[in-house]
Amino acid sequence: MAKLNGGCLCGDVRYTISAAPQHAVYCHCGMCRRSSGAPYTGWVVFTASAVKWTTAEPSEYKSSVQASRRHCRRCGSQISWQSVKRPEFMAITIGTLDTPDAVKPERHVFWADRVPGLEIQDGLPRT
Amino acid sequence: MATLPLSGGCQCGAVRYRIATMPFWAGTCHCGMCRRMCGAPFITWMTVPNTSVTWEGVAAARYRASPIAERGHCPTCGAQLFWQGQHEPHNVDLTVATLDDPGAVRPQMHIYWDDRMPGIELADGLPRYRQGHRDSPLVKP
Repeated sequence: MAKLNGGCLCGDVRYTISAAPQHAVYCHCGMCRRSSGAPYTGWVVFTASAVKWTTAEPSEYKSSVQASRRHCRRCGSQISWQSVKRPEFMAITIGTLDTPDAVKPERHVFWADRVPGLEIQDGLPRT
Repeated sequence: MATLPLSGGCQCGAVRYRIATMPFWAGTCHCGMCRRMCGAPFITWMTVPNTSVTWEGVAAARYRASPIAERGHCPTCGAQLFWQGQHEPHNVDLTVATLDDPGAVRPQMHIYWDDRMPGIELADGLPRYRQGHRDSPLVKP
């Protein structure tokens, strides 16, 4: 399995991932929407120990009692989500991968919370 | 019909804003810079005069993302909030997703459609411009 690489827009935060993804989803929850500024997000989940920051470490923000999110201090790019209960996994934003086509999300989650007017027809399951 | 002022803010609540007039343009951008900054497939922007926007709370962090624009995000949670083009300093684009009611403003078109993330399949019937809507052709359906 080739390594996956990615990073923020300004280049301050770069990462490399040395494991295969566990799974990938699109998330329509309100917290993802607010923190990204986008209608919905795409996440790909890895074993946390496989994710290495190769330049600056991103800023960590505890977005709820359940999880923390990381972003680049300089440009704000959203980088990761990590659960307090399951810190052995880390979700990475598909949009910051150098090759977002390397990941195929399997479903939409928090579909009921989606932005009104969004018409997605990709055939993926919605939960 | 949305009620004015529109209100919104970042995820942690440090940066808040109010918009006194309805946006005169709204569109969904698929460019690679927007994708990196939100970490998400695409961003929907709405354009308003700067004079219509009242910022509250902490000042957004500004980052000069290219020679033509600055982008603004919350310094605490990183939420992407605005795009300020240098050629149009009197107008500003804000992220529709940070509105308290994100259904209040609907996009009219897709821009930079050629750069969209693989696997994105939309059926909203909106026009799709290959690049910017002012200087590129529509994609044939």
